[in-house]
Amino acid sequence: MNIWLWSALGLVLGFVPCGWVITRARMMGSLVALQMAAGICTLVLLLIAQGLHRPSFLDIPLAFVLLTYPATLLFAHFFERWL
Amino acid sequence: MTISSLIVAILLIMAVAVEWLCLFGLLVMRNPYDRLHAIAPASILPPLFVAAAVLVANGFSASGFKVIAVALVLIVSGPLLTHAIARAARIRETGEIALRD
Repeated sequence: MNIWLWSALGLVLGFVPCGWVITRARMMGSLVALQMAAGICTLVLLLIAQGLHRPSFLDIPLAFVLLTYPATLLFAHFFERWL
Repeated sequence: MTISSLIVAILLIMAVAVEWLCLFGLLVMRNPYDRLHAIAPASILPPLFVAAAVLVANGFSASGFKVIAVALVLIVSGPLLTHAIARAARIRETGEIALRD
């Protein structure tokens, strides 16, 4: 374990409060927690790639963050009126 | 421990600390608008700190530029998503975006 992987572990634990809010809050509160979890997930993937010395793994957080943006916009759009 | 590894450790600790402060705010706040305020720094500061740590460790290499790209997308998309969610919450709550007299 190096400092990168310890940091990733510290951030992975952050999924617990996010999951708590997602399951307990109302719809829009859950969406806020989901956005937070997506940001944490991106950083965790970055830190794992760096911690394992695998630069090719950096494509995964790049793809993830590019997919998260339209996904959250879609959620927000549908939660606005239809769900 | 070299100076650069010490700087990397400090930056990563700061990134994790900011994330946990935001998570605390997410847990404590009760409505979506307050929660959006609480998590706003999480999309700006931790990506900056992590990108800075990677640049200190690796220098301006190919992986460094990829990490900068990820951090930039996070930093730009964070406020936009915050705005979109707040707008959706407002319309869901009141049925319109405009303020009433």
